[in-house]
Amino acid sequence: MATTTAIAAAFQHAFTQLDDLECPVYANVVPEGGSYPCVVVQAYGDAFDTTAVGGQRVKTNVDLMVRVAQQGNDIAGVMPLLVSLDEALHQSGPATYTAGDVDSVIRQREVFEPTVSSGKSWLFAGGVYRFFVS
Amino acid sequence: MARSNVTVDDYSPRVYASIATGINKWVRDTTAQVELETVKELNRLVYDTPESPTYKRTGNLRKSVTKHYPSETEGIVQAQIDYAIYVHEGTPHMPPRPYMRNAVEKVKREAGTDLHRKIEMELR
Repeated sequence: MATTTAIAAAFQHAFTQLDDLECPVYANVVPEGGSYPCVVVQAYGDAFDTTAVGGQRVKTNVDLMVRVAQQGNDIAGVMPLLVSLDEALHQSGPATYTAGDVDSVIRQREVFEPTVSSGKSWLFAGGVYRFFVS
Repeated sequence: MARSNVTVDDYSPRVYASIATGINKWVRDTTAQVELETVKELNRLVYDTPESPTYKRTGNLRKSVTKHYPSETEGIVQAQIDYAIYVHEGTPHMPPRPYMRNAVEKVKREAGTDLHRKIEMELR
């Protein structure tokens, strides 16, 4: 039967896979005083269950938004980090954690969001990754 | 795209018209459902959460959710205010609140079975 804490298992897997990245990895938001470039892992919406007849939960699909955050517009500078991030996550698994088993991870879509905030340029780039958790 | 298994062995204009009517009704109902669920998700993810001390909620994002029908087989739901995308997708300084993605996922799970029922009702 699938775990009740699929989102937590997905976060555990993401942080384990991204452990070798050459930058900080934060959950949910960049904390005050956080350094850049960094990677931010965020839950992207509800996690939908697949249930069998009788209500037994088979697995849960968890979507996480995983993005590199960098000040400025230097796309070339952030490219190695983006490649490392995708290589660490896409098609990773299976792996077992205290919160559940992550069977596999697939990138759903790539995201690329240059923006200006408080007069500064920012680049947020990465992807939405679907974690199949049981 | 929705799929439905309805078998017909009568290819008269009446049958084609009935199928088209069934599809049109399904598109309208499903679009309206997505609009309703989008507002519900906005309430759940944004408006029902504790307010921030740094900005005042106006309700403009919720009011900007609308629907329209470019054709008989298309329905579009939009949040038309310019910062809707930042609330939906989040930023590294603000978590995503994908109200529309949640709404579509919820409605998608029921929409396919409803399509063939709508077509069958028109064929009777």
